[in-house]
Amino acid sequence: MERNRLLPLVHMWAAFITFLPAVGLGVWQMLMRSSLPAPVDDPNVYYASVTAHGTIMAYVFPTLFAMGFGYAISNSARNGALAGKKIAWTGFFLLITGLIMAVIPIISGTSSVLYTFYPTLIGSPWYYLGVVMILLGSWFWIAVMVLNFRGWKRDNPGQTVPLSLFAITACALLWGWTTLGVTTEILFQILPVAFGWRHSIDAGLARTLFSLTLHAIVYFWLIPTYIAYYTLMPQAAGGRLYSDTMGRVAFILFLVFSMPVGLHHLFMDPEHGSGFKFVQSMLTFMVVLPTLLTVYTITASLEIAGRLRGGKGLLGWIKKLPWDEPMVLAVALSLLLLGPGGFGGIVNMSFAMNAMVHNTAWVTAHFHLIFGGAVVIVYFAIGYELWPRLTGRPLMSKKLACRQLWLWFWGILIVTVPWHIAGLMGQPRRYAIFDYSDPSVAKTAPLVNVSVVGGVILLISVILFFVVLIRTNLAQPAASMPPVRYSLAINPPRAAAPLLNGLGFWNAILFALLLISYGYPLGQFYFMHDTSSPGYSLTRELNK
Amino acid sequence: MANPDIDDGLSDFIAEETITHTERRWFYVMASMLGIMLAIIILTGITGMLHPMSDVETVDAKSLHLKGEFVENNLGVTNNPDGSVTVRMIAQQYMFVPQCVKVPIGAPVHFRLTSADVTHGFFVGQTNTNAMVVPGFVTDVSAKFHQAEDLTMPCDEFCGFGHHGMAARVKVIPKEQFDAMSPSDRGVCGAQ
Amino acid sequence: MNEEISQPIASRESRKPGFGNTWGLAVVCVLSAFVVIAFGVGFLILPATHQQRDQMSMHDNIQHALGHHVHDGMSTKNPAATSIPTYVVWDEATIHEALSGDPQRGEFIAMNCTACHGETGVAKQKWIPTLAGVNRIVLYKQLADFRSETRLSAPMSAIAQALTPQQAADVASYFASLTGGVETQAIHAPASGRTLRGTDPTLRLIYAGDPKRGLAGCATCHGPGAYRMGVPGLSGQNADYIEQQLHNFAQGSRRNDMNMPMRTVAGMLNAAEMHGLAQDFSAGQSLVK
Repeated sequence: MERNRLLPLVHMWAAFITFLPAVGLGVWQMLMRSSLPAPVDDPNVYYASVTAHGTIMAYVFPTLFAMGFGYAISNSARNGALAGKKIAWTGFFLLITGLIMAVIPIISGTSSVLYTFYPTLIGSPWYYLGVVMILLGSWFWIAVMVLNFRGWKRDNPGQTVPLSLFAITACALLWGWTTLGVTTEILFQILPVAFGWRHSIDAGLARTLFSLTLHAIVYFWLIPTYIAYYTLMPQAAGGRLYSDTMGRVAFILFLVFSMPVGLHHLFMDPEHGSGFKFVQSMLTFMVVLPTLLTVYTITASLEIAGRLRGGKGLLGWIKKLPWDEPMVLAVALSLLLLGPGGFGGIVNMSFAMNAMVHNTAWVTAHFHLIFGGAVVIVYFAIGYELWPRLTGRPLMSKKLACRQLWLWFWGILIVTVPWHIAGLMGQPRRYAIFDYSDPSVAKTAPLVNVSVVGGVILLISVILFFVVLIRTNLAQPAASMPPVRYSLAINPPRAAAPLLNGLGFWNAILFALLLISYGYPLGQFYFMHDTSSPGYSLTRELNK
Repeated sequence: MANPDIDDGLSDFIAEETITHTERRWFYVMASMLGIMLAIIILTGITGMLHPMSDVETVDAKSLHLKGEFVENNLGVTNNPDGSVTVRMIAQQYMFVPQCVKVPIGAPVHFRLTSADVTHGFFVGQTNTNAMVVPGFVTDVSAKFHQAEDLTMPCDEFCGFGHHGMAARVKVIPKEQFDAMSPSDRGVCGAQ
Repeated sequence: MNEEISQPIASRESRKPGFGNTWGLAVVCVLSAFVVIAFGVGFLILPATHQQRDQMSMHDNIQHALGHHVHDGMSTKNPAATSIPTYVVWDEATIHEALSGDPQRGEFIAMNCTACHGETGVAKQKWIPTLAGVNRIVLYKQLADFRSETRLSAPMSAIAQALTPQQAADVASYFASLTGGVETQAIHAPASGRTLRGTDPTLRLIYAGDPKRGLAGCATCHGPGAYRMGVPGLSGQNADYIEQQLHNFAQGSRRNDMNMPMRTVAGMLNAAEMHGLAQDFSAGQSLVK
């Protein structure tokens, strides 16, 4: 078994341990919004809960997961000789400290600003500091990823970096760029006001800085799932990856185009002109491309595996796939959810259609479908893939794991489909209370209530996931457990194509695109006067 | 880190050129599809005049009540010389002021809003009029209403604990009725 | 492995790293073209199609797309403000002044207030407001409004005009520091029954509001459980005073609420609701279940 199992294992456990209560909060939130009775039905608690749910689901859970996955990949790539372990552990403890620092103010009710914390709303400074610490901890992870990327290239001169290592390093670098927006916003705009050193804040600048983070973060969440698509699924299905080159191209496209598109979250905002709104809208089309390419390559890889197992005819290969393999099942279900989720994304990025759905329940439905659905279902499968290798014990059991995945799939659909419809009916988002005696609101009641059922299914699914993991952890150690195997492509790359083997060039392109797309939108605030307005705390006087 | 222990004999069982060819073909199909979508967006932007807000107008959120466009006596519904109508509202925790306005059928209605405190948002009924209201900036969006109806205009951006109770009403009334009203009547909808 | 087959897709030329690489150059060229088209469409073509813009020059269209408000002859002059609710502006200086009161100096000044507002800031007559525990920013502003007579009360105006703004801040911070009057508004323990599921209509109005009317719960600004700058807490305030102020706001005889929140809200309440709210708020602790 590989050395350095503890690092990825601890990160993954931490990730899922934060995930479970966050899902529980989500179910309670759904009950609150519905016409059904709910315990502790207090709107202030609802907004605190949404803040906790969002903070964990956006900043903590996927970050810890990516960190754990990254350490597992790098460690395999270095044959158990992962460099920078001390740095990695330091990062972990910083992150956990930040998590505690952020969660306590939320629970005490002083920071119900939601994970998007749009100023001029102001919460407790310790909440924001906690978030910054979480991000700071993750930056240590980025350093370790880069260290090992370089180390691998040093140890294997002229060789092609394995796709999984290439992709997770690109993911780490993207995360570094992504966090710039929210960190700048917190450190230079929000904290001075939260601590009472300054009293006013430019909301337009804050929203623009946050938009730098808001879109790119979803690709940070997505990339580990795609890494599983490309490097874990084909092997699990008994086949090969259709095209290694396409995999690299896809991850490069994500690195380059995830960032300079954030303004499409500000289409409806008054602080930007239509010119840059359009430029970033057009750039958003580029970031749709890698998903479209991936769908083809991964479906082709599935088909290869199916035909190798004797599948004949146009669709006969589907039946022949090993559906009892959690990774194969998860990827297929993920692709099914990616379809409607991606379609929703295309609606959101077209200004005219976005006007219909902006800030309605449609938006909530969209990101729960694509993140909670397409992305997280594969996170579970990655967990199932890594746990046996990290613990030295066999998975207990594959059957239960597959049932858990099916439950998650149906749960997500039952939750998000009604929300999409409710959004189209004009239901606003982030509401603790709906007056269902109002006829125009009453028509959404059955939809909201059905989605509660979906939420309960999701909670059961997560509990099942824990049952599998705990049983695995408690099982008898296997005599020998082979290390994680990353899939080979049909045509393994033999000589390194520099542009597909390094990330420096692409970072430079990203930097240039950022300057071009965000230079003016951010710089304009420097020349505006009188756009700052006082901070508004929801629970306390902001002292001098 | 190739996996030398996987000897499934599958390397290169499909020629690289074949795979590259199929991938390239898919790339062209997808790029064309995206290109068509982009063209549709541009064309509808040109012909249907569907475009996002562009004028970046700043305003001092602290002194709305003292000077400028959003002083109390200028809020509500005003007639413009070209036959259009301007609705001026302030968004604040947790109401729009004025909370209820009357607008005529058929005339272009310009909604001009700003925030007195935090970021709010609004959409009008089930039209496409949907925008953010950010303190320090003026939001200007237009709509046209075609039938007499009573529309809700909820706040659609989290603005604090009372966010769910924040909604204005837009009453669309026949033009003759609207023209006969005094300016102050257009900004109220009757007592409870 | 046959050497011919092991030839990678990239040609020999593209093995050069970085920008010298032909693929790298191709990427830069394609991206540059893409960016140029994006800017062209976004700044030249589309803005020209925005309303009433056919007469605008290319330069004006670019300005418009950048967000600069281009004069199109449509803007009208803003009318003068004919009804000023308050002269207070929450800029840095004012907020700083409101927060800089000295409670000890304030106690000395407050000796002139106790006759009406009570020895400990708790007013015995129910139509006079209790000042103990009221937020200092609120008291500072009300004194400023009495001083400028944007809030009408002959005795209070005389008193306020005799105080400098610093003294107003002092006495405000003194009363704010007293206990036993209006309760702290900000955070309270979570409780059930604070949505429309609750059975008591007045408590529903306080905590959940009435979304059909566009009324947020009173507590979302006044507490318990919330704070908003410039908004007084009401738990433990005198009932008659609360009810009178609600009527005054509804009728417009009190109009110093900056940007009209209270006039808007009070205008949506009927007399029975105003009475019920005043009673429940004045009961104080029992509101906090």
